[in-house]
Amino acid sequence: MEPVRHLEQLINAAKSKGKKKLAVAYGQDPHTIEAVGRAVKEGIVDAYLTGDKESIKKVAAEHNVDPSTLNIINVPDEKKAIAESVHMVRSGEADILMKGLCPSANYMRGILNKEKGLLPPKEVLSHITVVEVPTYPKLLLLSDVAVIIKPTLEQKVKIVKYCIKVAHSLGIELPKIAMLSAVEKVNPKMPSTLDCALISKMNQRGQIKGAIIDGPLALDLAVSMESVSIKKVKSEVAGDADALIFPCIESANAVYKALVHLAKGRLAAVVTGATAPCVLTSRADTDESKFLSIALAALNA
Amino acid sequence: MLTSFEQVLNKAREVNVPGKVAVADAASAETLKALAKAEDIVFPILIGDKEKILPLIEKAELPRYEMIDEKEPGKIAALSVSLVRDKEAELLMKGKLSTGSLMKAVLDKENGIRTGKLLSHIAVVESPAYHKLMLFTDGGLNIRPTLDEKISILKNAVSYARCLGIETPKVCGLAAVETVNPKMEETMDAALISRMAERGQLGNVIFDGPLAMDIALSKRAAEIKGVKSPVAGDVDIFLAHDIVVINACVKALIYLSNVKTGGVILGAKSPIVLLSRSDSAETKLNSIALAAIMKTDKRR
Repeated sequence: MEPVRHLEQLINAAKSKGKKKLAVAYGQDPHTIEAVGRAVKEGIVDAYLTGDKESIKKVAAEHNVDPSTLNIINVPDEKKAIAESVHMVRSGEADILMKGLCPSANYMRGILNKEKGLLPPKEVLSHITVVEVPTYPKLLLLSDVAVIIKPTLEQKVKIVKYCIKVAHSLGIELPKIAMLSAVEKVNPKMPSTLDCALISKMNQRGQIKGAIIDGPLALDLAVSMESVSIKKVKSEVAGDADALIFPCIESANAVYKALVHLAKGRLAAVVTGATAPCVLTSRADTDESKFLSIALAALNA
Repeated sequence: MLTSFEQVLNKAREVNVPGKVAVADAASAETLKALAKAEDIVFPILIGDKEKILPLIEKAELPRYEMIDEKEPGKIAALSVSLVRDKEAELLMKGKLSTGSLMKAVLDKENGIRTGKLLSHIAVVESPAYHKLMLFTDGGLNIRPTLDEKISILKNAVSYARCLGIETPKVCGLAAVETVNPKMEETMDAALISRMAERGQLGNVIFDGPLAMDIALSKRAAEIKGVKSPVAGDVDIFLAHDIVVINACVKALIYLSNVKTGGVILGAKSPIVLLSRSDSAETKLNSIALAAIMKTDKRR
């Protein structure tokens, strides 16, 4: 598979893997229904929406989505609708979970439910954003911009492993992963540099496979060859990173928002760690990014 | 590059005038015997109770020396250290004085011979089963060094390796495994130091860790275990996380295999020779030579 370099290519890449089943939890809002309708039309997924059947039909018709292309399961209560959608994924009736009109917290609670949820023990629910910016020649994976606030070393190891899986799904055979801090030196006074160094070493020792990992790196060194040559850092990753792993949600969130709002960035995102990929889009996301997120999830289902 | 104690002794003897060594409480037959053997390497200034030392000198057949008569242990320590501070002596050696009293004088903020570096002990081992000298640290002074302390210990060892002519020493961050395991603190520290070395933060040194001892000593072990390491089979320095590791390891080599050893304390203004009563005469001589070669470089 040729590496996916532009977000549009996600559509064909997802199609080539065959049609997946998408369970949409409380899928009653226009944005969700539009994005889902488009994914159905493109042949990426068959959609199963839980929620109030009449409302869904009505919203779909109002937004140029043919309700007959959607499978609607009438569960008017929000929490019951979430539980039903989660159940569909858990029982194997669906391959992907997606959030509809419900609050993120309730949606996540459904996934995290110990008895009826989707998170295997020892796994970590985390978020991967795939960003396309005109100033970088390929896609950039960022994690974790949305779910884990301050990942521990063990959680970072998991995040890196999920990132590698998503990168592989994009056809990036040996992704270059930059473990980010503010500097490239290991400094015991900056705890983030220590975790970066440890994870790079784990990669050298074959404890984390399928990628080349280097850190600590500052963001400029991760994405700019010019910085690399000025600062003379020897690294297989520097200047050519496929993925950026951040030390905390604040830095990751600020960077992705800066890319989107100031650098014409476009994105798709997926929640990893559960038994199936989960789509968790933000209200502020464009319809396009919601649609592309479905394609990204389908590629990983 | 010096690869045997024979070469170390030869280098130590390559001087026209042996360097002076301040001996803190020389009223020890063992110490005087060692100094007599090392007469072509160092010139002793004996500090201590003259009446007690004189008869021992005769027995030890020590040919040349200077003597400073002093009975009080605290003063013996201070006097010995002051000789080094005032550059009257190049080396410091512990005689009968307790290690604690000597170290107190060495570390004294006003009158001591600190340099700002951490003091650390290095053991040098020559084994017929290995192609060069091995340095072990720290099995003598620092009980359970922190990450920062390990880096200081490493720096001392690396600069000592240069005295042996090893320009870019290969260092093993010793652990029981080669993988990074958060439950084994030593693997974490070794991994961190190894990244620091890769980033050029530690100067001219090749550091790899965590590594188990078999991988550091044997390329074959590294190949079988599939570990790629620039240190494998060619290690110069072992850096451990706990005094017991190196202490037990070196003693096992001494008592159960056929090795030559010596040791020296690094990090002060002069090398410090600290012999143990149970050291063999050969080990004592080797230790004096190991300290002396640190200064011969500067004298030439």
